[in-house]
Amino acid sequence: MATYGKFVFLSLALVGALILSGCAPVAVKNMEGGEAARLYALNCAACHGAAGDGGIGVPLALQDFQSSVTDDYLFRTIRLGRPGRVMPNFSNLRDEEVQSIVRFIRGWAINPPNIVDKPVQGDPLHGKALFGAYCAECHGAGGEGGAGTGVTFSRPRDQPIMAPGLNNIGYLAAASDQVIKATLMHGRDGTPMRSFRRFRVSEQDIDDIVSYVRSFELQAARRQALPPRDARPALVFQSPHDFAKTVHKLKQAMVARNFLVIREGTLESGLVNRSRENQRQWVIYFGNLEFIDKPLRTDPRFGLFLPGRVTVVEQDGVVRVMAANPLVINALFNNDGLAAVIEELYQTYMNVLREAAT
Amino acid sequence: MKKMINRWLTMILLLIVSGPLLAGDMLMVRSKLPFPLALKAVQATIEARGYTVAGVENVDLGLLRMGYLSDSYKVLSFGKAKEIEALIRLYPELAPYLPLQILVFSERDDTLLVATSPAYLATLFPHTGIAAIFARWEGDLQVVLELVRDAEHHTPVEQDGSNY
Repeated sequence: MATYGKFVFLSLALVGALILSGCAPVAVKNMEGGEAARLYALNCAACHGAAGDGGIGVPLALQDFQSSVTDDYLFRTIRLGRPGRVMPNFSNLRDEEVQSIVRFIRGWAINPPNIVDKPVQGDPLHGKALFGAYCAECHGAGGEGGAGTGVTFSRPRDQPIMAPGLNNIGYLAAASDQVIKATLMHGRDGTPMRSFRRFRVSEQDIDDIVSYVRSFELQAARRQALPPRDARPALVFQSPHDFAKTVHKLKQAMVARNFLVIREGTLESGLVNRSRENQRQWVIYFGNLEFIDKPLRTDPRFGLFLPGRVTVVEQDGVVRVMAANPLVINALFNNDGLAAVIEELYQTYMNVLREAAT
Repeated sequence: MKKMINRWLTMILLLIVSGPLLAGDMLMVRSKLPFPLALKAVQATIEARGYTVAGVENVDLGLLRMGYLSDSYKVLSFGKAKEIEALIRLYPELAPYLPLQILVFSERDDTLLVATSPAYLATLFPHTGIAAIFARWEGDLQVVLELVRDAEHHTPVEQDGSNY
């Protein structure tokens, strides 16, 4: 009977542990409130979910995430972001505000992490071979992470998270050796990240992988983005033609590049009565399937600048054609995946505007 | 020790080179409202704050046709005609960024709202004469987004009796 009682107790404990271990990350009620909740809602909830269930960003309420990261990791991640990987750096927040957010995120933790930060001693060369065998499929051969932003349209919805970029300078600055090791040792239940103990690798093997990931730091420092080569907020050309001819030439230049003129009208359209619209401020929207599809698949937020838009303004007898400079608006997205799209858009604008203004 | 120094050097470098991107450059909120209600809520809230909604447009040439699972994806343009007219008269190169826009799209059961921060525009066009307008737009836009973020089904967004 005593044995049976022990069995029932152990079964219940096991079921309880399974429920709490991350299968239902949003079930944990976050008791942090007030200013911390406000700051989280304002700065984090759009990507990480109001209940920490993720979506675009990491599901912060996931118990395996909570148990494998330190407060310092969370603090540095918020402060430094992930350059080029959508997560911005919240350098606008004060230290106390970041600490409040960290406390709020910790409100989802059932068990605090048990991580003592000390450097790991490993063989990065051996780690590289293991990384190729076990990690590269999801994290990329060079630790660049999964493609896409995590936003709807840009990745399949059947996974709660995309593989993080391990070679990211922000990640490397935030994650201590022990944080990386804890993730490898325990995995993250509810995500594709499995515990490496399943692969029957030794703890020394795991240390070797950690050392290899740490070695990305040198490459990450070299890979930093340069400021845009053309930093003008707007690309502006003065047209030698009158207003009507400039508009005509613009449309010709678009069609010659296999673009459709999707719509056109005055800049004030919808803002004032039609009879009062300034007819000398004209906006032409253009694009084609590929031109629109590629950026939207990479980052749906880019729809703020789609379809292509060129504005013609006549003022004091001077006709100018202009467009928002894609190299400058690139900074808004913090998404390296957009680099090729941005460059193509810049070249398209420059060519179309130049052609209309010659 | 070497590792520790490397780590600190990385952090310092990151702080130096991570550029002017602030979290506030892109305003983004998640609303629990389904897409059609969120879209109506944004329109109502913008208008309640004295702005005119100039249009609600598709970005795409047919998202469903392109193989997307959803075509719940719109851009809403808005502004105050007199302000926009005055700004472009003084600074024509602002025209490509006006009127202001909010991108509204569905994400699973939620709706995401994204806008370029007017405060970011102010950094692109640092003319003293227009800083106050950008600051006001920034404040208004934040309020609009927060109201829609916090709105629930069947509750008015603004305290003016409007119900969407």
